[in-house]
Amino acid sequence: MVTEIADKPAAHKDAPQHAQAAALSRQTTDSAALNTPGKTAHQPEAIRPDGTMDFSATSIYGKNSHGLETTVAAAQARPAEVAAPQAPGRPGDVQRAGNDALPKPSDTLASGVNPADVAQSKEKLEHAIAPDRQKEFQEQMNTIEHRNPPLTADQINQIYDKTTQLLTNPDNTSQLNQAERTQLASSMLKDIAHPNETDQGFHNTCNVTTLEKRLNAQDPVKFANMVTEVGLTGQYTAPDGKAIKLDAASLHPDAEAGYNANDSRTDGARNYASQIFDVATINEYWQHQQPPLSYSQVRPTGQGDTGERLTYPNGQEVKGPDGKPMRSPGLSTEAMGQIGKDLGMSGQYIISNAATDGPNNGAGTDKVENIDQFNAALAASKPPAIIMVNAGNLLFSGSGEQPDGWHVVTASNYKEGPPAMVFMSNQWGEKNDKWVSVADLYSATLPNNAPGGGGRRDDGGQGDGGQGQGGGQRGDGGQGQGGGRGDGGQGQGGGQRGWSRNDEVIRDEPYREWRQDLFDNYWKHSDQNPLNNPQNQNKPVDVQTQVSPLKAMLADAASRQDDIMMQVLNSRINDIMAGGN
Amino acid sequence: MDLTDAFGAIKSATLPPDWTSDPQKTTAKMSMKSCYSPNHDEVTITFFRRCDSVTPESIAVLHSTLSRAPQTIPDASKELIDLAPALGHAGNNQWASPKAATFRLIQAQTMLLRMRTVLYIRGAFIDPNDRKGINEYCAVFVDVPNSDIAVEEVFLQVPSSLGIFQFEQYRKVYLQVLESIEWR
Repeated sequence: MVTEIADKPAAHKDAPQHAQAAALSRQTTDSAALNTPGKTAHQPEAIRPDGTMDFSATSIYGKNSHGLETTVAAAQARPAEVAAPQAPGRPGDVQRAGNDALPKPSDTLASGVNPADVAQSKEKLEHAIAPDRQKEFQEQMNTIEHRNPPLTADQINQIYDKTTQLLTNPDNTSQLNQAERTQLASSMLKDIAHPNETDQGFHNTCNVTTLEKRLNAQDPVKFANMVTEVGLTGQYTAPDGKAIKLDAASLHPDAEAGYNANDSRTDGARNYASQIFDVATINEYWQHQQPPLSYSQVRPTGQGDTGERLTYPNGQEVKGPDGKPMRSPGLSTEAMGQIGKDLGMSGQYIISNAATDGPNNGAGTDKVENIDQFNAALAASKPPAIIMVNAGNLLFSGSGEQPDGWHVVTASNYKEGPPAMVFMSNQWGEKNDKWVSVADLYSATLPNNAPGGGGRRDDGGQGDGGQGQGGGQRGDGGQGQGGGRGDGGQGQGGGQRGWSRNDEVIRDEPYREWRQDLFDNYWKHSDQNPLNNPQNQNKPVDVQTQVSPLKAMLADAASRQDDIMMQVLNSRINDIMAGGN
Repeated sequence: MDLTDAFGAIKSATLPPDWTSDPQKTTAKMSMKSCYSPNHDEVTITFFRRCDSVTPESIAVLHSTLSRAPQTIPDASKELIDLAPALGHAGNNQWASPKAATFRLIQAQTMLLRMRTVLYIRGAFIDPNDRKGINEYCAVFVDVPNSDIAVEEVFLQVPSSLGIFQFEQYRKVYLQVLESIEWR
């Protein structure tokens, strides 16, 4: 018996029936999956009760053969204020917003520093560069000296000095060979010269890539220090002095990071410096957590594998809420805020919609409830701000018919309207960096099926009115690590609950539940747990013995203002105090 | 490149009813829909469109390869080496990357699949240190009209630890899926 996956565009015109069919099918398949030991519940999106599967709306390869017609039909089903702007053109087209003359921010250069003020460090650097790479390095240096936002001579001198160290390996400590260090130095200068152009490539690292872009816009010396330290020592010293150790495999460039600067494939690809930054910052976060996890970039072991691994101290892979290996950084906006805080970032610069990401605010985060608050947050934040968006939104997917998936981009150069505009830099390559209306970007902070979400709102030159409100419940309870919690993406226009493989940023509530599972799962089996000490196994362990190590961890989490970890630990302590285990 | 502007080659396909799927994952660089076996959830049949790391030159070779009558592509041939960037991680094979191959290519041939020529690749992802298999793999690569940077494939991937017998069992399922494909 087989299930047919058929392309039947007509079925999509009847949205309620379609949703009902998908729901019925989901029940059937989820039950079957859950009846199999060790199985996880996948969401057979768009599978009809008769077993057929609709490719018409979420074609695996993009729009169906009725692409425009379907888009219009879907738009007509949306509230009027969302459906209005279905005219020819593409989402985010500057022409549609009437700003086709706006240059990209990186197109304008500053007058630059006095060459004499950086001459000494520059000369040392030039001597360290191999002759065949001189041109490439000179181009980056010239841009750094004239970039916007401009850098001081002192900053540039420090960056050049670090680059020279990286190239010369003065203490002979580096695990990287000369070619690798040259590649790392070149890409480091490139990311500093063009902060907006840093891309994530084929990795789930939008989360830390946006932080890298922000760091390079505001404090590139810190970026240069981090990359150089890792390149020369193989580890990174966190602000609290903890040595963050990186596995050897992650230190070497993966396939994308090995591209030469003039390779056409570099656009959209993650470069070597960005790889090192990603691995260092993600490990800096996870190695401070309980359980402490390690994030690695290994050789891909299959087609479609990004090579990302998140592991427990014993090397076992951490599983996602769906019970399958996580294979992504596993970060929420609050976790990103923690990383940003450790990088010295201040203010509320990670903007997400409370209807999507929950109301809790942590370090660096700003949860907005309407477009007015969104406008205010953009205008107030020191650019670039980081925006949590739905990659299934029309602005990114081109059709608005893709499943929801949570992602982050950066926004800078806010311009008051009408219509208010902002420069959005995605990490998907140059063509995805563009001016967009603030209203469109706000719409993208919502699930596709939320009022105000999914499609472009019409500014019509009339300003940014409207109050798009998302909503809906999130998280559907859990069964613990590996147990198949989470209902994954909801397929068509869904995704307001739980977590899905499309999420490169995990929403707040499912993130907290997942973290709680990780903690319980690890703690119950950890050698550090007094209950697992053989000496204690046959005699009762008093509550204080159980709680004291947790309280020590709580104090550590409190010192770092790690709200999520504090919640996890408090919950565990309360359980033990109440007589639980 | 905006993926949603390009039409995929497959209009419909048929999967066993007890297989489940992830939602489609789409970025500017790729689009992927994975379906899972009910018995081994690491066994996947995946529909994969990719622009990442693909070169126009390799796509031109793929176009040329698929335009000829079905035939075996000889081991170590220039054609096979030139195809490598179009094959994704499977392109990192012993012929294209002799010193650091992570894919052991066993078979490369073009064939007719429901009136359309496709490139069939069979092999295994391996640990480059001990050369042991990690994932058994077979795929058909499909021509994407009017694109010089996109590749589409439908692949089966089975952990090598399940053994070659299990792989062959799943390959039968995979071939049934291929036989059910209706092209656009």
